[in-house]
Amino acid sequence: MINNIPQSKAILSVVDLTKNFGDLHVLKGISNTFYEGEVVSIIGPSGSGKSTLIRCLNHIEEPTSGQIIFEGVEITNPSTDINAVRRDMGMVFQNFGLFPHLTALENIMLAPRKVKKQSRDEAKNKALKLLERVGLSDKAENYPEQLSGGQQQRVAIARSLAMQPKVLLFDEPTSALDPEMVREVLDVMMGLAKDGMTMIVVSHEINFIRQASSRVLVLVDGEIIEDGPSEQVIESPSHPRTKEFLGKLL
Amino acid sequence: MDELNIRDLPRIFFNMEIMEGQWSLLFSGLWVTLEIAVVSIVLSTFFGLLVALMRIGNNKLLNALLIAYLEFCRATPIIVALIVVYFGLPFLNVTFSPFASAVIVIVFIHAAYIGEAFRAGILAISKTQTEAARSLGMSRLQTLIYILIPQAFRLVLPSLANQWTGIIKDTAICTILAITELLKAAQIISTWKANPTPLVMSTLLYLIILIPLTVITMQLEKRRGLKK
Ligand SMILES: Nc1ncnc2c1ncn2[C@@H]1O[C@H](COP(=O)(O)OP(=O)(O)OP(=O)(O)O)[C@@H](O)[C@H]1O
Ligand SMILES: [Mg+2]
Repeated sequence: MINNIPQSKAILSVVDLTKNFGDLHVLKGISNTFYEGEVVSIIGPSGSGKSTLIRCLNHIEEPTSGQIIFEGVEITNPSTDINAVRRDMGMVFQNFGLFPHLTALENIMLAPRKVKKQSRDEAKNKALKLLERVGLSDKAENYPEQLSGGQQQRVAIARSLAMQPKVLLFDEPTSALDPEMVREVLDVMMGLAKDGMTMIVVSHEINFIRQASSRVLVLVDGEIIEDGPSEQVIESPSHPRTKEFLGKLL
Repeated sequence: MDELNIRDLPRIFFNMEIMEGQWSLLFSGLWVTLEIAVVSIVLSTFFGLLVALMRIGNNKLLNALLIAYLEFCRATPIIVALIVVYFGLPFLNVTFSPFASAVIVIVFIHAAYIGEAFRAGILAISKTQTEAARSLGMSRLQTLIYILIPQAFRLVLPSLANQWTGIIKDTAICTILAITELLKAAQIISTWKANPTPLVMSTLLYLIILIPLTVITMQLEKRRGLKK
């Protein structure tokens, strides 16, 4: 395990979060606290609400009730400037979400330039360094459609990093990838974990969970049924639903 | 009347002697046509985009108004709209120059169609694009300007080019106004010389402008077909 420091500063708290889509109760009162430097994996069966939960955290999905507090700011409060909050919270999507009309470099530079008002040169220098960090220096001028899935996802990670977020959210970042490309993305993510980045990751990649994740949340039917150190949850789960689910996974 | 002989056709329809000294009038007509077309294309594209943005804003009242507007434009022959604006509005003491009347009517009608094209284009963009932009801290407006509109433009370029072709063709409605655009110039010369050659020449000029545009449109459509 790379880091195991739950007693550091709380960075993101969720209090009694619920989310309904019409009559469908997807999240049924989620409470949890995420700490600086933690890498938390969220696992659970399909339809259990993992995506909904992670999308509520940066308010891409509007919660039905409950509170989300990020660095002391209640982002569920309507008067909060959500754009300012999102600057410090990166998100990586299952389907990459790169902007197809921009090159890899431009994808990374756009938000720092327009949101953080960085100069072109400053944004470009930082973007080039980030591309190097994800191993894609030679792809700066390529458009997304000219990149493989794994390369696109690495650019997407670099794009999130360009805003220097305090938390990175991932929603199944490798599940849309061909098997041979999963490794290159996980390597980047593990590198981030090693560098102390706070990460909340919806993923069933057991190797990532074992090697990089400090804590695992098990989400079933909109409720967290298990929350503990990765090793413990994976090797000796206490809840029968967790056992059943892991049985299918391993 | 003499018997018509097929060998007379060139003399009737392609009589270059008739055109001698008349080209400058024809070309100044072409220039007016191009002016009306360019101004109308720019403005109706701009207002079309605006209409599309208002449509996707999902305000119920605004949407109802815009749908009524679209239906009105679909059902109204453009020449009727022009007659109302140019000959009707002066009764309300609202008077526009022929040039302005033509532009107003063309833009009013075509902005509705272009708005529909843009709306379809924006709605065709994956939701993840907006989510990715917003999750980077970009505002709604920034997302529109830097992410959605550039992509929508690419998606709708073929139908946009189609609309632009339609606008150039619709400039011919100006013949009913006191303005000498291409078709009117041809008509004037034709009447004066009692020969249809000028009309044929104006047709050729329309084709010279429009064929490249329709070819480009076709190629854009083909390219998009390949990509999808
Ligand atoms: N926008 C929406 N409108 C209505 N229902 C939705 C919406 N988004 C998600 N749902 C429903 O909410 C439930 C939870 O979905 P969610 O995507 O959060 O699950 P998940 O755990 O991420 O599943 P998966 O592992 O398949 O990605 C599902 O039943 C889904 O159909
Ligand atoms: Mg999901």
